Amino acid sequence: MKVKIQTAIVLTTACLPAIIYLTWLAAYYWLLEAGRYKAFLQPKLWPLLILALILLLSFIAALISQFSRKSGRVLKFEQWLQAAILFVPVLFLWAIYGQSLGTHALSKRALDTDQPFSISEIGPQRSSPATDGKTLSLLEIIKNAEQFNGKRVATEGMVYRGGHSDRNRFRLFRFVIVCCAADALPLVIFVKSKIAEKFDNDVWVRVEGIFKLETVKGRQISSIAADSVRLIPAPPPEKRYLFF
Amino acid sequence: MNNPVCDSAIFEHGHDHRSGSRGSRYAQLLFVLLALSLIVFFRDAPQFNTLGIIFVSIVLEAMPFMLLGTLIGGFIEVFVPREKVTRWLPEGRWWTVFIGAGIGVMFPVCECAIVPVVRKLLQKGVPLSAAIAFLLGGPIVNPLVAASTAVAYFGDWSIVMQRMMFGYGIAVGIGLLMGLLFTKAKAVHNEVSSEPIGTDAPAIFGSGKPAVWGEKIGLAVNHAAADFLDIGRFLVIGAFCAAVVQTLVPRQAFVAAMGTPAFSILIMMLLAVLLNLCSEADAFVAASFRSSLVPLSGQMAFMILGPMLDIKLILMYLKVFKAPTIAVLATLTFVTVFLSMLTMY
Repeated sequence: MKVKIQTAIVLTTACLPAIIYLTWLAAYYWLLEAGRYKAFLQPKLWPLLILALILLLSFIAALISQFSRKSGRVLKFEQWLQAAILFVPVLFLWAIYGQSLGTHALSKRALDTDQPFSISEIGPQRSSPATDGKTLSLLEIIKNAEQFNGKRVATEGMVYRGGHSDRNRFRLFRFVIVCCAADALPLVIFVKSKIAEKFDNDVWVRVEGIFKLETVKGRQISSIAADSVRLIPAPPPEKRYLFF
Repeated sequence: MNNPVCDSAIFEHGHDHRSGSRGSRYAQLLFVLLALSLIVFFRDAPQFNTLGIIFVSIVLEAMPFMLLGTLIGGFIEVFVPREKVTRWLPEGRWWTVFIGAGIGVMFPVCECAIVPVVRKLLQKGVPLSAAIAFLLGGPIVNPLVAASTAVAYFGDWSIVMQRMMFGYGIAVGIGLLMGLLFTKAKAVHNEVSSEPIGTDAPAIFGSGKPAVWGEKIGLAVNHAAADFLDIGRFLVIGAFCAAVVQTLVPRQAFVAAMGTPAFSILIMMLLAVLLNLCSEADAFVAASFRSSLVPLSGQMAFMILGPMLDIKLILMYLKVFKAPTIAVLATLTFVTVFLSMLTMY
């Protein structure tokens, strides 16, 4: 019995590298399937995921072709520790998929939450954006702020009430990603509405109203005087971010 | 193709046991226990969501680059003979540093992919100063980083040029200095300073008979697989530390402290070390600080130091350099970037 257990341990230890790569291969495949990776990465990075799949497959093939039980006899603890560390991100992926950056991340990333960070400076302004009743993203509105000034807009995002917001106002925000969620930047627009206090932090709402661009203390502040604010279900995780 | 000699040579050589002290093992074990306890006990906390998303994102983005880096390292190991490397980049020649700092132009990847390649190049006999110049300059002086910087700054090519020139100049300067201060044997771990015995393809695949291409490729990939397991865990731990910082420290606190230009540069440098952003994305974050009136020298400091020095890189450097070398390299890099940016201001 003892010999059998020992053999099983040796065999598993020898297989550990291949098991690690198989686990990561499954994780990347799962993320790529149905575009789940967009909950963490910029959609344009899909070739990077394909590259990872190809490399992981070739590593597994090489490990299998060179498989030897000998490698299981040395450094058991070290190899198990190595494997445990490399499994940690997969466990986190399993634990957090379905969640997204919210008001907590906003409070840590916004450079100024009273005069919210605006990326109106980022990217050239596009010409004559259409506003004909369709839902615009916060990125489209902020990038074309001057063209939308005084016009009716409809957009969606999450609510942030902040510590000292007045009753008739909340911040509507979404995160915009360049490469991955680690570099996500918040886009914020103030929403003025009589029913603003009804909405809690982190809920998703659709806002319709007149967009205004004001200059306060030398900084441009975007706001929407809303005549309609309604709760909407949170989009699937891969559609919660905006991308440059 | 079961080849026990090859297998044990690859997995025993330099992977872990010699370089992993007991303290380091305990620290790694502590990391695993901490990570698992966070999943078990704090899964519903908003802080956990932020931490988890940032952590997973950094690893998912960096891992393909690192897999690629280790694969290139594996091919260098098997296909590039030491004699050729030492002929191209001979030891003791100052001009090799200038080549090293510019290799990124032909090898445009971010910093995670460069560390495993540098490890292999050092094993193959590349001079320490040239390898360090590549390590520091490669993630900045490359076309992808130039393009992303241009997009982030609306095609302002003067900023792109400044980033490339400062990146190249600082990499050359520190490469030369490190070459003067350290010998290779003193700077890097024993298994990195010399080519391991028994991993040479002809030596493994027959008595004096050269290995066939297929076998060589298999061996190269096998080397890459072993190298990734060895260095990959430091990427994971580094990404976790970066995520913790991003989760707990508000960026506003840094901006509030930027009273003078020197302070702005210092704080932006500190941010670069703590945020651990990819060199292909950091320009967008740097550009976002314009709205907080951070001077260009501060933004530039962020874009130059980040690809050279951050938490995950320091941890990955541990698999290449000895601790005193890392301390000197980090200090020199920090001070040089600070002084350069102060001059620029």
